Amino acid sequence: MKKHFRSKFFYIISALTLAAVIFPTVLISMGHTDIFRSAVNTLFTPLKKLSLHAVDAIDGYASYFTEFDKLEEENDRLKEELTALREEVHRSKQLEEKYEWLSEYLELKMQNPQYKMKNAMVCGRESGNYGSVFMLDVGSSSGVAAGMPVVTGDGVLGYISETGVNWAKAVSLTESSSSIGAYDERSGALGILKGDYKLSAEGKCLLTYIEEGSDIKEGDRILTGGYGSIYPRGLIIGYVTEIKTDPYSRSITAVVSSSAESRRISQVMVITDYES
Amino acid sequence: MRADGNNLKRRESLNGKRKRKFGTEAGDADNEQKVTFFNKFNMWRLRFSVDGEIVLKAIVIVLMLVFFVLLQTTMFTRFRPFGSVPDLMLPFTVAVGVLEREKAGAVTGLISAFVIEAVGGATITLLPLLYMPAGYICGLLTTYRFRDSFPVMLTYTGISSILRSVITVIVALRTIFGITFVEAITDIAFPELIVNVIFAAIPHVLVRLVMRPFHKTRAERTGSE
Repeated sequence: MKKHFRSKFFYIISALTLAAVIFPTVLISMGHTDIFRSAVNTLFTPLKKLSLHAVDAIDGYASYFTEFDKLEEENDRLKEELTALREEVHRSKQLEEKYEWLSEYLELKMQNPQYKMKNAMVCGRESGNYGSVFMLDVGSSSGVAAGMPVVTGDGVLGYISETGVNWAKAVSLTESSSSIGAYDERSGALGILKGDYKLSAEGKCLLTYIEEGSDIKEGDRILTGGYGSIYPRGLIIGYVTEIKTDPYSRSITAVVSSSAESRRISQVMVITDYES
Repeated sequence: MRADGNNLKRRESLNGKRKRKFGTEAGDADNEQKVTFFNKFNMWRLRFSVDGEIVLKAIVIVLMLVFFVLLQTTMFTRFRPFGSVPDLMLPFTVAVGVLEREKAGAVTGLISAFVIEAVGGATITLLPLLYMPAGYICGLLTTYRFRDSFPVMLTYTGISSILRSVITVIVALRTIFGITFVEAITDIAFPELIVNVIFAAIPHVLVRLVMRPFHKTRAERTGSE
């Protein structure tokens, strides 16, 4: 076997090996590239490009399988994030509602500093078809008593009809049993606001006994009269949507749409005391 | 590759044919020159046994070399199993050396080292010093000492991979600024050694599969008795 290390072939291949080690290293250290390395790279560059395309394709295909666990983990993480974000959105919505409510409360309080108000939450509605009686979470222990007006930032909602220690029932203005004095803000025409069985479902009521010849028009704002009523004067009731004239009595009746949209209310204020 | 009895017979027969065809016995000067040329060519061809099978074998080895270079420089640089790129050219050289003996192993080792250094963009070229002897010695050991078997191949692969790691440590210490000897071993050479040994199976298996037809007899190839 030793003769192979003294053969001509071994000498030649050893010389070539030394040349392959020395020349490229020297040339590279001098900042040059030898022609053979350059030729090899020229030959292999397009092949490498093709190969990289193939590798990309394999990589893309393999990732469906190799990254399954990773994708599953990511999916779980994203689900958790989604749940957290939903909770946050819910919290934000609650805060927004609370903010709106407090803004209305503050505005009402600033407009009517003489009112003493008690904040209340609508915790239920009487199981009727029209939903015009509300259950509130405040009662006599909070100073709430029957006959107190219930308002929102948009206007009058109704009045307290019944109370317990920690609950109260509020009847809407649109309830057919309701009847209060009111007037047209623009013309000053007086009338009696009554609930109507048919109109209450639409959140409307009637302003009756308006004097003949009164200049009441659609769109006018109707306010509480305050005379001998449980409501203080000047609270917004709603807007006139329709005018009707009785051909026999010549009296005018106006259909009033309540400003406080009762079906969506969640918070209200009970006016416990006011200076008339 | 060595000229054996059959080759000598073929050489004599071919010389006789050439002489008859170009009429050298007639003493024509031009023909004399052509005969001399053909004779010389055939002598050279027969001496080195340059026949179709060897050419085909060389082409197949070159194609495999290109394939492993591309596999190493594109596929494994992307996926980096265990965080290291395996050296496929060294086991390829060893496999060729074992199957095709020392000369083919040495030439393959030299070319493989040169190509992978060129394509890989190495600044210090040391791999030919390992690859060429590896192919040559593995071929010689297979011819004179050990039969080709799995433990022998594993031993060749293990020893060559360890030597490859030594070169890696040298190159790392020379080219990476601030790296310590221990870091070069633990962070670079050792993972590379493990990956090299594991992925050496690819060249060994592929070279065996591809070169198997060349090691069959004519009867085995044609299925004749």
